[in-house]
Amino acid sequence: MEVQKKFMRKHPGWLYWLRRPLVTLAITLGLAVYAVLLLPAPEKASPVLDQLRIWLFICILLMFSALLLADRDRSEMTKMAVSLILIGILGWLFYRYSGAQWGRLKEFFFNWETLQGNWWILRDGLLITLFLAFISGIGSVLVGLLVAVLRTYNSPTLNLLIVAYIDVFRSIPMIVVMVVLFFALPFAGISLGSMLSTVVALSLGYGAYASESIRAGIESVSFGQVEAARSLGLSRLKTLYKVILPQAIPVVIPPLTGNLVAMLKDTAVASVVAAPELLKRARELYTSNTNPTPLVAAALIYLIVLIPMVRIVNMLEARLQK
Amino acid sequence: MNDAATMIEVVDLHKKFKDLHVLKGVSTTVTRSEVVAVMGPSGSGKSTFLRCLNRLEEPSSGHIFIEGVDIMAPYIDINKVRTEIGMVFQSFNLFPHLSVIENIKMAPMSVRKVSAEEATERGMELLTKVGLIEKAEVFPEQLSGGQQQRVAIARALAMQPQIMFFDEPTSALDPEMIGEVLDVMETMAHEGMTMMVVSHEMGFIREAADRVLFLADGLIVEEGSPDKIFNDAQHPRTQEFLSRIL
Repeated sequence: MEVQKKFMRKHPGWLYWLRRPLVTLAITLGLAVYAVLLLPAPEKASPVLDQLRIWLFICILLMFSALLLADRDRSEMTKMAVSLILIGILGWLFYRYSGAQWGRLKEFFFNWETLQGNWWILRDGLLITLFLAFISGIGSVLVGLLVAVLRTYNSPTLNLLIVAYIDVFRSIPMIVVMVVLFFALPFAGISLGSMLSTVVALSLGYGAYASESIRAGIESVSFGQVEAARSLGLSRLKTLYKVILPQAIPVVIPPLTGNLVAMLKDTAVASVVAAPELLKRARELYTSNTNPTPLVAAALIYLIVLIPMVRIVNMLEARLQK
Repeated sequence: MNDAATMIEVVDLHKKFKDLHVLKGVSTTVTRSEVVAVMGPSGSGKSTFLRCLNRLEEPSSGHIFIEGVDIMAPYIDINKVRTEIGMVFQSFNLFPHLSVIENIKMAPMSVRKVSAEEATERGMELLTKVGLIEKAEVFPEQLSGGQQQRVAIARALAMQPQIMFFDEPTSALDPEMIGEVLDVMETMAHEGMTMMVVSHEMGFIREAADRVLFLADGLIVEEGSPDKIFNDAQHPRTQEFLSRIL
């Protein structure tokens, strides 16, 4: 008996009572009743007492949620539901009592009528964006591959030039590169035009990043592989594409896809050199309608295109882990 | 050097890694069908010596003649030289992205331009020889160390080399797998392959080697038949080394 008592609490603690299903139900009902009866109407939510009632409600709500979320014995499903409901209630409270002018906000930023008949402009912009990203994506991978392969020669002179290139392009903002290519190069007699400037800038800029990823991939292949291939009589080049690259490519695909996502976002920078891509088109609509809804629409379009790509990157990374 | 029986002739070979003088003038001659074991304490330069002979490590100075041709000469295509010298490594170094048979076929097809059918046929013969015919379509990671090393031997033999180098082929193996690899090597030795083997497997050396080179501190301090070296070593370094491993 004494031994059994050795590790026992003197008292189960008040949390023990709060955890009981009936008490939980009672608190939930209590909060619901509070919300219906004691929360003030939005229009007269100014007096101090009303404010107090709102904050008290929020306090109890948060404490109760914390109690549920910190409970080891409750399932993840419950916790997820509690979190979502909590976020919903807090959002609802904000909507009701923040005093924001929701009507005007909607009129400004979510005025879909201004887009009526103009959707095709955004669609064309998106196509240009995807086209730019596609071509620049290929360009950057080719540049990255070339640079990474040249780097394996371990020539001090070559490495100096390569490191200079990589460092310069990693330190200059993409927007500056584009502006220089588009506005300054014509003075040197080279006129690239907005589309080509964008492609060149993105290829060189992201090529610098890609080369680092590819180099890491190449270095992940053990040197013994190279020695085995060379001792069989394979030349440097054959060793590269028969032995090293087949092993390096699976390793570099996730980071390269990540690069591509970042690049797709960065195509928006091309709007400063007047490439007719999505953001540029949205801004034109914004100016002509004096309404920023097209920008919100553009943001949503970027989101719809990029979220799946981001998921794909995650999946590729997870697959590589195996 | 024009003796038809001479396969490898090494003259005053030096190798330096920056300040480290690993080989300090190694000279030796290996005749056709000879099996030469290279022994020596760790750090004595035995692996470096072997790797210099096909210029996997670039020698700092000296001459290496393979079948009478100086492979240090500027007009030499080292890739062609290497097709004549098979090499087996301590860590197997099979290509993990290729199946066993593809590992074996790859070099003959892309270097010697052998047709796919011929390379497959020859590969299967070699796999039969090393006792792994049933593993042809398996990938290296599914094989045990001993099996991987036997595949590595088959891969090297697929180029039909004149000479085989073994750089501590059994050092990375679990004891129960050493035998299967040594058996394959012994068979090759009896078939008349010219071999240089860096190894401390006394049983194998006694059985298969014609000559033992004992390296210490970058020099051949003693050489002779296995019997002479194991039973009647003259040099104190050899005696000390043998007393430790026997």
